[in-house]
Amino acid sequence: MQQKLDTCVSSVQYALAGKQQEIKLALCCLLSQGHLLIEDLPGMGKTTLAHALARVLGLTYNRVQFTSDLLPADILGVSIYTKETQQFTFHPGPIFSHIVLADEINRATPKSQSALLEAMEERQVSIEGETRLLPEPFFVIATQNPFSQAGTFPLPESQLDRFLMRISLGYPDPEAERQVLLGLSGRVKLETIQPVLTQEELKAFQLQVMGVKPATAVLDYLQRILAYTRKQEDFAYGLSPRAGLALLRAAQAWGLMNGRKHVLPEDIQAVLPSVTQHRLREPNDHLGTTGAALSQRLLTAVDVVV
Amino acid sequence: MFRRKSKSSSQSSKVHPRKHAIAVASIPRTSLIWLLTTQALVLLPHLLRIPYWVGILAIACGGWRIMIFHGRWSYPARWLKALLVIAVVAGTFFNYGTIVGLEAGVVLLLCTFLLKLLEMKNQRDAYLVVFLSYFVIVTQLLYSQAIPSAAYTFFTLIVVTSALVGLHQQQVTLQLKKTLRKGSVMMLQAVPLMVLLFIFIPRLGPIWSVELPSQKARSGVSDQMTPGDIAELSKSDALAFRATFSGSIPPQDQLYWRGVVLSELMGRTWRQASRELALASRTAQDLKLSGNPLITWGDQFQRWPNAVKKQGQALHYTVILEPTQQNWLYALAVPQIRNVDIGVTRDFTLIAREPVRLRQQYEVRSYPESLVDVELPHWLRRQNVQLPAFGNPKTRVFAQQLWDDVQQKPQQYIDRILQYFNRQPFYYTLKPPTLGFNSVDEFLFTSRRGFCAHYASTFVYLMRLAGIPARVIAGYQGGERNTANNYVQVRQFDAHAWVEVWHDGRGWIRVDPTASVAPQRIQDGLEAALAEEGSFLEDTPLSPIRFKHIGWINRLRLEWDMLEYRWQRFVLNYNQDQQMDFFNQLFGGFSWYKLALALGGGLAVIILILGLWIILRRQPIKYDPATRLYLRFCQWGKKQGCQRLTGEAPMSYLQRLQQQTPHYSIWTQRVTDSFVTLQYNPDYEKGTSFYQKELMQLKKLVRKPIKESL
Repeated sequence: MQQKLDTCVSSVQYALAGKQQEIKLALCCLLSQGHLLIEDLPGMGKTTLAHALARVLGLTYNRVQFTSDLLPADILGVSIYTKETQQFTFHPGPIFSHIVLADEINRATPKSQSALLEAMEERQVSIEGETRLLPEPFFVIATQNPFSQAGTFPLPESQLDRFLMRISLGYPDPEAERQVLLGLSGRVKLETIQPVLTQEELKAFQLQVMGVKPATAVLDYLQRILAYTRKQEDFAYGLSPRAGLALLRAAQAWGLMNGRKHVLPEDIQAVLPSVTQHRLREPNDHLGTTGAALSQRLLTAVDVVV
Repeated sequence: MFRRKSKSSSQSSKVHPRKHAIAVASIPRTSLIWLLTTQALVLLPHLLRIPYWVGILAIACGGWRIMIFHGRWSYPARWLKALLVIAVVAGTFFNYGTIVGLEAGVVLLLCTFLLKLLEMKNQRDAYLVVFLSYFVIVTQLLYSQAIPSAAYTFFTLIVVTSALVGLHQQQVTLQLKKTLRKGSVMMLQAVPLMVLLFIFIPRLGPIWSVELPSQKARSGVSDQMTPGDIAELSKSDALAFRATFSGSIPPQDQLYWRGVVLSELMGRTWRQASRELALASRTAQDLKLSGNPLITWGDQFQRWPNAVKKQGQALHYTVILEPTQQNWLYALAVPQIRNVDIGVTRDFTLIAREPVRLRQQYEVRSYPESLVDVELPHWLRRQNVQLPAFGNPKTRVFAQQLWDDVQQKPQQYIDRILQYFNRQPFYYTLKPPTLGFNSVDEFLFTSRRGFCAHYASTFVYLMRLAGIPARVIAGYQGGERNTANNYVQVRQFDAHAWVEVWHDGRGWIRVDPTASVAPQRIQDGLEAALAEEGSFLEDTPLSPIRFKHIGWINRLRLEWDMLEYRWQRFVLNYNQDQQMDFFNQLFGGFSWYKLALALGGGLAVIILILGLWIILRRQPIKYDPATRLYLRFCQWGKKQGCQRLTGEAPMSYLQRLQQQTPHYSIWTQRVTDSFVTLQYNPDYEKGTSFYQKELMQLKKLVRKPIKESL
């Protein structure tokens, strides 16, 4: 079982060299049924990661390039009048697939953003009075450029909170970069990736995540973390219960990926930065750039053994 | 005070005023608020005693300081400061005629304390002001040591301590409640220490004694009496003394507190006999001369053993006398005393070596049934029959007639006079008319209105006209009884004058002519006697004693009196003797070694308790057994030079530890595994057999590190 997950990681790594930790986090996010936000500069392999994950997991994949003139209908789909049947037929939008890559999500207007974000939360869309279920499993992998760029609409906190994790890829190390330079183009590599998991297996894994049990001491630790963010003056606001739940889920998935049936504090610590950094900010920080430092602080300030 | 700052102020006077504003920033707003509040509180109790210009100075300095804070005004120039100091000194001199002495000293201290505001530039100066506040607070106690002022002092102490705490806070907001709470907690923690030191630190007598302004005014019965004097005294409800009986309190009409014996009549004024007068008015130095034949000091052998025939039961009581500035003390008839500093006069009154400047406590045994001067010495007889050669012709005739009527029998003579007072329309009043030259004539036959002094002096006059030795006694009569606690509270309005008449074979017998006119005065006190007239304490409408008839006010007043009495008796009067008594009770005898032990032991216990309290409050966490063992393991790791960091999870720590101590890597692995299993594996919940087993395992493992050979 763990072997299969390892294979998944190594397969994706074939397309995206040298990013094992990020790939594992992304996989962990999907296993815990959360959506993933990747924040990085263009050309760092965000799209590749999303695409490769889709292929490895044997899921359908669609990509939506967000722009400022993108309309909700461009994401969700639209009913078009068909001459033959003399009826409106619904043409599903790109959201109707297992994995949706929402590229540069912060370029779209808030209206279009919220259309996607609503679908993420409800896992269904309502179009023209009709509720349509989205395929199961359903993941959104959104990418965005850092906020400071011009002409973007930063996601509000409420919507950031819906992403289980936010990760960034960063520059590859020289060795991995050499491989990228010498090897085949990413596109070709992607196509050679074979699915490792079936949809059923994925579902089974997701169920197993719930079965990874946290002991009292682990829950204590988690709650201490939450309490710390709520008590300290350096935090503009504390972590929400949803964030706490996300942290636990991700830690459970991480434990599963490491072949354990219970959660260790290390599991929490491994996922903590990715799960919390987009949810935290300092009181005077209006751009949301201080989250990473704050979540790092949680690691060193909240003791594990008390 | 100004010397230290003069250098920096001369520098700052050269720079541009704007610069000052920058310098001010070093004392933040919160600190300034604290300092100003402190100053106001420290100044407040003095406000009514000090000249008004000090108040103006306070407002001016505070205002200036605020303007400095806002950067609108700069610090005063050097010449201005010098001028202010000179003005303050001059003002003090103008008010008090001196700049030394207590009151002037206090005013000067307060002024310099205020002026310090104007040259407070950095944190250090602020500290100085706070520390100075501690000192200035004490000056309040020079004026009053009653419970309210002590409570106020304690409150001010809390605020000053809070100000000290406030100076350490960098916050912009005041955080009043938090800071006050911290200050209060600090003070309260100090209270046990305070009590301990209060009880055990050896008391030294006052090294110097300053005459306090509140004590300058003499109070109580004076050494001479013109009819009308005591009426003046009766307008005051101030406390004269309290007497606590070790048994039950004698009946009210037996409570004649003798103060001075007045046996010489000069014109209309009664005085102490000239020899005694000379003694009492002489300086303390003279009084100390043990050669005075008319005083037996407490440690001396009784000088006139035949004058008193001791009889009957003794009354044992303790008197706490309010300061009077006079030498004499008050006691019931025929007192006996064992106090080195108190003497018994030939008239069997008590006298202190020095005027009573501070509240004084003394213990007396009185034998009210004793006979005094059964054989009257000649000189004493002469003294007590002396009268002016002429004046009051009507009275002389009246006395002669009466004396002849009763066939020169003294007892009947006395009874007839008392009857006369009783049957003729005599009135007891606080507002007697002023009498002319032949005052006794006028009183006896015309006005017939008078206070106790009138009756007593007239009675003695009549006695002496018949050649019977008689004298006026001034003191207090009665007092408010607190039967529950066996004490009597005597106030100034209980002042009284009565008579002692000498009988052949029985000695001096007390006669109170006032009782014939106004028996209520003796039984129920002045208020009852004056009920009709309504003149009781009419000048002090708010005196709580006026509201006696309202039940709850009276109860409250009595409770408060009780409290104040206890405060006086156990706190303010806790002197060397009491300390010794206490020590004897506690440890059975005094020695320096025991004192040191008590102090040291007490300090240790208090600090231990406080320390424990703080520790227990800070660490409510109780580790579970596995964690305790693991933390012991971490201690071992720390000794190996690899401390577990905050937030470092066991497995991550293990990795580091193994690198540091490769020889122990198997052991460390096993310990960590065991702990992780216990702590993080839900299958090993507490109470399961797995848990117990694993815990034993861990216990065994942690006990001894296992080193393996590589």
